[in-house]
Amino acid sequence: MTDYLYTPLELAIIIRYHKMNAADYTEMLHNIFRYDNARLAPGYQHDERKLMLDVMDKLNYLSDRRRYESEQEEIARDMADFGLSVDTAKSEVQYTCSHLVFKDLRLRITYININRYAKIKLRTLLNQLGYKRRSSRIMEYIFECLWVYGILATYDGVKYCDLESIHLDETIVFKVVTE
Amino acid sequence: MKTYIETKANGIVSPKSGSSQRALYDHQKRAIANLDIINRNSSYSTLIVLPTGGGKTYTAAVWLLRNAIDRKKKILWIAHRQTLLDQAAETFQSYAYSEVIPSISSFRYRVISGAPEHDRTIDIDKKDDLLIISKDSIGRNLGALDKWLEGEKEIFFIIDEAHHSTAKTYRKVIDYVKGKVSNVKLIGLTATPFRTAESEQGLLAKIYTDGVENGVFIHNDKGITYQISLKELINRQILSQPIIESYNTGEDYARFIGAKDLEMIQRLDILPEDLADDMVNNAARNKFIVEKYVQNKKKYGQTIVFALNVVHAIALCSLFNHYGIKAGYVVSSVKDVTTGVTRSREDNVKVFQEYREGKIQVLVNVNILTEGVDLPKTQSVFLTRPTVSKILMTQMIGRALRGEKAGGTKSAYIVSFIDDGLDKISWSNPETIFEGNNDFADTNSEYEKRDIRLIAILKIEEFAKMLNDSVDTRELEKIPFTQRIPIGMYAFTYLEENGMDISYQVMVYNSTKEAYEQLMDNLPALFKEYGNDEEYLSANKLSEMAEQCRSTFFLGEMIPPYDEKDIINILKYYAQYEAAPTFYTFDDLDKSKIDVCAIAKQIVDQKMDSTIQAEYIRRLWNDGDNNIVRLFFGRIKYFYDQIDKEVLRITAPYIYEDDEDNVVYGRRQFENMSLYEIGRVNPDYEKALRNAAFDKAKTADGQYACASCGNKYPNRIMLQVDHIVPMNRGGKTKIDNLQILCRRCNGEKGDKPEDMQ
Repeated sequence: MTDYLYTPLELAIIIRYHKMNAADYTEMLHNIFRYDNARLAPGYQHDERKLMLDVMDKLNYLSDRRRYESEQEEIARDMADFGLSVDTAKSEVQYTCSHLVFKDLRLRITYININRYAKIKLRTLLNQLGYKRRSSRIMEYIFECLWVYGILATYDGVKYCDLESIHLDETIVFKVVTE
Repeated sequence: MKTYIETKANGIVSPKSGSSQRALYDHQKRAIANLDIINRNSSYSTLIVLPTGGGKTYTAAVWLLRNAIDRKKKILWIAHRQTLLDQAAETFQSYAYSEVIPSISSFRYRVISGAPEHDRTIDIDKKDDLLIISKDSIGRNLGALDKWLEGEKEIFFIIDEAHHSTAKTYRKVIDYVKGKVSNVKLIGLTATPFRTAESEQGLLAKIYTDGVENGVFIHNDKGITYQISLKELINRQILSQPIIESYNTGEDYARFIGAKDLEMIQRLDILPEDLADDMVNNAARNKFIVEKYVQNKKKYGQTIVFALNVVHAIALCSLFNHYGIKAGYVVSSVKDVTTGVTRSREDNVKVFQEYREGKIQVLVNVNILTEGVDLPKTQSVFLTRPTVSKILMTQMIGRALRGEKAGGTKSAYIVSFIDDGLDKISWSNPETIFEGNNDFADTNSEYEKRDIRLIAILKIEEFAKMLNDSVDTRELEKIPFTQRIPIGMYAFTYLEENGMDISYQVMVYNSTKEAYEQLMDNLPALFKEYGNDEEYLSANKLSEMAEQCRSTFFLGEMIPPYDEKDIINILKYYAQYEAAPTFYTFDDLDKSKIDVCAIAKQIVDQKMDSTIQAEYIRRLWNDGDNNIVRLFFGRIKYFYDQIDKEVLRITAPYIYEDDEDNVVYGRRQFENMSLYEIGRVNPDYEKALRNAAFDKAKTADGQYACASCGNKYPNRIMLQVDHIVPMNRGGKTKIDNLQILCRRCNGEKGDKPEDMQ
């Protein structure tokens, strides 16, 4: 189940995608820490400073990947010189990002979009997940994720939308269920 | 059957017939003329300052052969390195011509040190005319000189590398000899009056008091009989005009350099083994070096190549030969790993001869050619190893600098090979040797770069720890970055027992400035209290004294903190020179280039997203003025990390506030902990307790009284805080159970409460 939780790399990818500046993303991270704490990966639920610094580190990594990787050996050497073990979890950059589309969706609705909702066509959502049309398997996955991330599909913000029956080009208004 | 072996450690030298083929240059003649002037006095203490290549040992030896040996006056020659002892002995032997020692049939010399090939102090014979001794051998056994000095009314006392003679052992030997012989003629030889703390403080001037100016003897004012600069020797064409070139090998060695390696290189000039191995075995790098010569062989002409080690010398030599360049190598007496043949001194002599005759064009060596061998036709030197040592750099360059008037060449090519990834080290480079009016004066920008590098080497530990979750650096992070840049440093060098120079810097922050100033002021009292007279302190003594310094001066919260290692090195230095090291301020350092607080503010104010932010940071990294940013941070990740922390300080300042406690832990009362333990968790409370205890001991005249013997002391360094009832008998760390005792009373009391004494 931990792959449903937010990792620093995933948060960094989302922040980068939305071109957020430092003030905005630290505010978002602060809110995630306060209100979405249970959705943070283990190790981050009790340490806000670590969360912020690790997300920033991943942002730097994503922006300067080549140089970051080229320095790994040298930094490991520095650490060894001072009797410090290399923090493998932190230096491990080959994370598998899971459920990123829905993680992003929840953050957009909750913290990024002013309107507190997100409008997406079902076709676009399927495309983002790598599919062209509905199948029972993908729909099962979508429902599971919507449930896990507390997201509700509506037509207009109020009326429930049945994703299995609507037209692919129909716009869905996603909201977060108030917990 | 022979029951002995020949040793070069002692011998009898008979005059060679005729006169030396090596003529004295003008500056050497001037030095000798001035020595003649000062020598009209029955005793004196003076310096001769001749740069490398200026023939310092040769000039002194020729003058001493004529003025001391030939007049049957004894010579005591002291140096701190064994190679210098051998070099001195060889010079006296080589120039002992009947022209300079016409009145004697022979003289007896002896070389003494801890080295297996040398004699010991017990071997000293009254009949020895020339005693060449290592500083430490004689320092440990001064009495060994007694018989040799007995009855002597006049002695010539030479100290080689005299800039070290402010060290305690040298001073002890000087005082001892002066106490035994009424007329001591003390001559210090040095390549340059180095920019060191001790010379700046005038300690050298206190030892060397006499000199010659405009042909007149000056007493107690100018301590130099003759000096000439490297630049002046070049102008006079005694040394050739240097043409400095450098080639980038394209090799990147960043991966070989860890933080400890940086320290090792900067302090001891020792390359990490794996780095040296790679340079040696790197076929592409070796080929690059050789091809540079091949492409320019007319320009470079006869060339001396300085290799990293013996294997490297042999590899380069065979590569030169492979390319059709006649090359030979000279190394110390070792077994040639490729041929299995042991190189002897004779083999080296043969190679030298072939080089002098032009039969070989390239002479590869490790560092045996830094001094002593005369190879006038050398047109170029190739420096294939980087060095931080200005002395080694000067000596290597000195090989090619024989000027036209000295039978050499008009100009000389100094060719260094630069590798990437090593720019964090403050390498010595040929340019700085020749810059400025002073031989060794660096330009301001070089000074700045050097200061930045020195700070950076010490900051790496901080940067690395901050990156690592296992170390809690929150307290340090609370301090803005700019306050974590030192405000200055104490920089000093001292000699280890093995003769190795240790160059050390103690970084000083606003937080530690006052404590260090108090420590420096109280060093004489501390050493007096601990009754220390040794030049090399034992580890126990050092640790005991360091704790006394901590509990006296380094109390209370200090962020950034001081490092006990720094105190220990200051104590080692003081033990040797009996002077506090000099403080160099970083006031002139332009800290704006590395001010991550300002960079972070810019990122936040400009509302940069992560892509724009990364571009901005990369620009600073790549285009920083003189690469100061890169020099300081070393790794871009450290740079990013420090910026991130400052960004957070602006956007999320609450991160640095103390956490709310949600657990009520058990409590351990301070009164049940030792002062030392309290200091580790609450330095300010420890400081308050100690201050209160001292306040109790304060007398009406502002001194402190020992609660046991009643003796009064002007300052705290001689005193210790004591538990009246020891803790192991239930005594508490409370002010009413604390008293001040002098170190001796405290030692005698041990853990006994007062009523049990």
